[in-house]
Formats: sequence, structure tokens, C-alpha cells
Amino acid sequence: MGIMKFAPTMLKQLFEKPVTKNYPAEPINYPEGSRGHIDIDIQQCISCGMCMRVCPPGAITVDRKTRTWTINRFDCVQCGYCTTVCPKKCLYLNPGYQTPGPEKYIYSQTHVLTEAEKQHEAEMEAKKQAAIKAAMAKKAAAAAAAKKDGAAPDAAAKPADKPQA
Amino acid sequence: MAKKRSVVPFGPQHPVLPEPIHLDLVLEDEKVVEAVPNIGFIHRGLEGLTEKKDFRQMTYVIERTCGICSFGHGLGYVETIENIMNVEVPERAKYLRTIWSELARMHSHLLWLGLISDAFGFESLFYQSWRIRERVLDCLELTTGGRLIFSVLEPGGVLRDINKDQEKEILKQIGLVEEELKEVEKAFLLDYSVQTRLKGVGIITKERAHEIGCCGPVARASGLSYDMRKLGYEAYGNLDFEPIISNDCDSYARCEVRIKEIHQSIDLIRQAFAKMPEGDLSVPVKGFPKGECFTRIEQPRGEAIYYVKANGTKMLDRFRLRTPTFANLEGLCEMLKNCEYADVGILCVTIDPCISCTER
Amino acid sequence: MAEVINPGNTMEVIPLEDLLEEVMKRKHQGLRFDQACAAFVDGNFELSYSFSDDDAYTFDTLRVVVDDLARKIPSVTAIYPCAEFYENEMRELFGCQIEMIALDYKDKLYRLNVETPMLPEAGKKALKEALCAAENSPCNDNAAGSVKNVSEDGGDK
Repeated sequence: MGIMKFAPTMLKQLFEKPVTKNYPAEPINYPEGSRGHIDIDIQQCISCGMCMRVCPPGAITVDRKTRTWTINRFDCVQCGYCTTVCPKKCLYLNPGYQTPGPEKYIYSQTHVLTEAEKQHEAEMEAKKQAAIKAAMAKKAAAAAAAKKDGAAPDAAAKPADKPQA
Repeated sequence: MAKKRSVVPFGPQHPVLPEPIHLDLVLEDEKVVEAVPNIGFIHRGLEGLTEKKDFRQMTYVIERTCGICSFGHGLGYVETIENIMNVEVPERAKYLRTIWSELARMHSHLLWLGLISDAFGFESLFYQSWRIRERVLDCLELTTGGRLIFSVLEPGGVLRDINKDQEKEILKQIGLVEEELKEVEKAFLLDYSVQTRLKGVGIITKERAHEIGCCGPVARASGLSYDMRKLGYEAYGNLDFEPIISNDCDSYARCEVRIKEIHQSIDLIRQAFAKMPEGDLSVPVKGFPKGECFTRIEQPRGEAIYYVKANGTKMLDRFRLRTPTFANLEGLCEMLKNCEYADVGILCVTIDPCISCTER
Repeated sequence: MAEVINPGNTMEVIPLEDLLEEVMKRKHQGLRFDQACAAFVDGNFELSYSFSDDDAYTFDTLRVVVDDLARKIPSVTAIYPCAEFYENEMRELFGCQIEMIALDYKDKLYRLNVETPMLPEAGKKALKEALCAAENSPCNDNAAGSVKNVSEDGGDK
């Protein structure tokens, strides 16, 4: 037991420079892989929606039609589960935290189609239309064959409904 | 003449309390005769989330039960799931988990040292403890990306590795922690004014500690050699250590046990780095768990019990988490009996209460 | 290398009548009370009481399955006083009818605005019906019906 055991440590502190950083005048060095915020390489994104389904707090929404990826930064807990499940590995945990603000900040990115993708999309769409057309023609032919002897008055209307349904 | 009794409410808002707990103290003059704890201010129903989140998402939910014991909770949960599904985790992952949980223990104990010095009014000791803690937090941020909540666990292994450079950095930093702690612990263990506040205060005898089911440093400070790491989960079976016990049974003993445990953790991390093999980080886990299991883990604050009941679908039937503070609350009531009113604040801190965990 | 002591966990399913006796046995063996918890599985309450040994690190669980939800469950706090928080929690979150708890918080351990929050909807309904059946009073599902009945009863008197 003794008194003033801590005095030497405290006196030493008088001559040392402060332990704390002079933030924000001095910037912070985040280590690599620090869990700051989620970011996306939107051009890689295929809008599969896996990140939306696994997100524990439900911060991410993916719109397939408009190819939009949206995150509510205030709901995100930086667990990084979305980055592990992403099939294209286009989600990243970047260093640097979300700055505080007066309202909920929603971050959104939309996938813009490149020329090649547009062409591919158009081809796919054309193929789809062709397939529908072929199916309709087939149905019509089958219906016509079935109704040949019956000769129903509204035979044409029926097969036209089918592909839509 | 019969002494007059009065009831004094203590908390949930009080300068020494880091988290809300309410105590009804029955006083006889300045002496506390009885204390009735009252919790429930921050019950969030995380156990009930098993209805809405699948078992993999729950890993991340459970880690966020508490800011300080987060790694322990995640570890306990994935271990329980692995036990149910009979998954053998790769050796390297086991060592990594051990290293991280020891680092978490170090920062939790350093936090506690700061809180207790704040409770007995030694402000500069509080600054020093937290300054040392910052080194541990930096190591954790370097390797896992998070300072307090790491999210590096998954059923079947871990998600991040520690490379050679990071290993060197951690060993350097914990060397500095050891050096600096040796200087600071002199004040905790030898200083006259600190001892007057801690020695002989809040005694729980060995028998009582066993009877009321104390765990963790509280039990070990009462002479019970009760440390779940002895079960040999993860890599603890390959490391050399003995539970640290003290027979003084008072607040000073609890402080001493925690300081020695920081040194023990430093030693365990060095051993683990020396023995860590190369290899995979995780094994794929397919399918859903079915069955039930109890798992026990030694967390910084004591023994935590995890219970999972799974029915073969992706949602769990029941998840239960018994936190160390839930068991130590009984110890707190025991300590508060016949103590001075002025010591109540210190005694509340000596069990290292973590009310957020306790209420889940 | 340190010695590893891991005897593993054991579980024993016992009827509710034997609960206090078995717990008493554990007390005489010098075991510590580790935890108690409830679960609602397949329309039954599953209560688990765990005990462990300080030196041997055994973990011994007693499992009680209560199929009648309104059945009164004796408290073990007379044997292990430290079980009071666990039992209060079980009763508050699941609605198990545990009686004679040494330190009874009267469902005010946590500050909740929902009764028995951990029970699924079906469980809540079953519990309500079982409680009504136990008290021999007619059970009303909707609030409007119960209000009406009360006014009728009042009118009769």
C-alpha cells in the first residue's frame, strides 16, 4: 500500500502531447476494411434482390423494373451480410461513416443500360415476342383444328386470350 | 430503540450507472438493509425476433444485443447452431475466434476499470484506462472492420482473416497495453485511497456465491474456480491457462481478478498466434438446423448460456440467451445487504452490469 | 496444455409433479442453479431448469412439458431463491402460470405494453381459453362480446 502511486504517471502526462486527435482539423485514417458504409458498383448489379432479402434490418430495396438499388443509410447496421451473399460481388463496405443529418438519408443508384446490354435486352425481348407469337399461332391452329366440325362463331377470340393469361 | 427505516429509490438515472437499473434501497440510518432490483427499462424482445428473421440473419441480430459483449454473443449463437448441425469448424477459424474473443475480453475489462475508477472518483485513472483500451479497439478495427461490433462470424467459420502484418501490429499493440497497464494497475492495486474504497466492501463468501449462482469474475473473486473456457470450446483446449481466483471475496478482489485476466488474455493471444495453423476460414453449412442445444461460453462478464430449439425450417422455434448479469443481479442484492449507502454506486459497478444484454 | 473438462450436457424429461422433488435432489447434490427458461412448442409449454457443478462442469437440464396451458406450476424459488428473475421472466413473456414466486414482480419485471409477447397468436388464444376453462367461466373471443355479456350480467343482478 502506498500513497500517490499514480503521481509519476500523471506528471509524465504534463509533458506529453495529447492522446486525442485534433479532429476534424486532422483527418482520421480508417484502416482498410473498416465498416463505414455500403456502396454499390451499380453497373455490375443484376437486380437479383438477394441483398434485399437477407438484409437483417431491411434497409435495402431493389426495384427490378427500374433497376434501382436503394439503401436507407439510417437503418443499415453495417453487418455486411449483403456483401457476402451478392452473386456479382458488386457490394462493398467502404470506410468512412455516414454523416449525421436532420432527415433520413436514402441513397439510391439506378443501373443504366449500356449499348451492348440494350441490344441484348432488345434481342431477348424480340425472342420473347416471337415465342409468344409462335405459341399463339400454335394455339389458334389447335383451336381451329378442334373447332373444325363445330364451327363456333367466337373461335378466334378464345386463343387470343390465352397467352395473356 | 427501533431504528427508523426509509426506502430510497436509486436509479435508473444515476451518475455511476452506465445503463438503467432501478434499485429500491431499504435503509436503516446509513446502512442498506435490503435492495430490490428493478429492471425492464430497455427490454427490446430480441429473442422474439426468431419469428421474423432466419437463423443466419439472427447471427447479426444477436451480435447487436449489446455493444461490449457483442463478439461473445455471436460466438455463443454460432457455436450452438454448429453443435446442432454437427459442423466441424476449421482449425484456423477456431484460433481466430479465440483471438477475437480474448481481445474483446481485454477491452471489456479495461472499460470496467475505467468505470470503477469513475465510480470512486478517480477521474485521471478513468482517462488512463480508456486510453489503453483504445489500443485494443484499434486492433479490432484493423482486423474485423468494427470497433465494437465485428460481424465476422457465420455458422461454419469466420468471414475475415488476420494476415501477417496485422498479426505483427496486434502483438506490438498488446505489448504496449501490457506495459502501460503495469503502470496503471499500481494505482488500482496499491494506492491507499483506492483501497479504502474497495477493501472489505461488498463481500460475497464462497458458499453464498455458489448458492446464488454468481458467475464470471464475481464468482472467481469469491474463490470459486469457475471458468467456462475450461470446457475447451474453440481453441481454448490447446492453450495453457488456469482460471484466476482470489479468496478475498470483496470489491478489491474483483478488481484484482479483472486486471490479472487482462494479463492472462494477452498471454492467451500470444499463445494462440504461436499455435495458429494455416488453412480454410470456413466450411459451407447446408440445410437448416433441427434439434436443440445448450451451449455455455465464458464472456468477459461471466458465463453466458445459449439455447436454441430448431425445427428444421429456416426460422428457429426458440432462442434464449442467459446473460452473466442476469445471474449476477442476485449477487448484487447480496452485496448490497448491510453495506453503507455511500458504497452502493461502487457495488453496482463491481458486478460489471450490462443491462442491455440482460433484458435483450 | 491446460486440462479440458467437458463432461457434456444431459437432459432428463420429468413430469410436472416430480419437479420440486428433482430440484430438491439437485440442491442436496450441491449443484448450482444455472438457468430456467420456457418455450412454446406444438401447443405445449416446455420448461427447462438447468443445474451445473462448480468443479465438474456438468450441465444437467430438467425438462418439463406442460400440455395444459392453465396448469399451475410450482415455483422453485423456495429451494433456489436465485430463480426468482427467471421465473418472473417466464411468466411474463410466455404466460406460464407459475405461482408462489419468492420475489413476485406481478408481471412488471419488464415494461411491456403487450401481454405474453413471446407467445404466438395461436398460443395466446389457447392460453386464454385454457384459463377460462380453469375458472369455469365462459370465454369470449372478441372484446365487444365480452362487454355485452358484462352488461347483461349486470342487468340480471
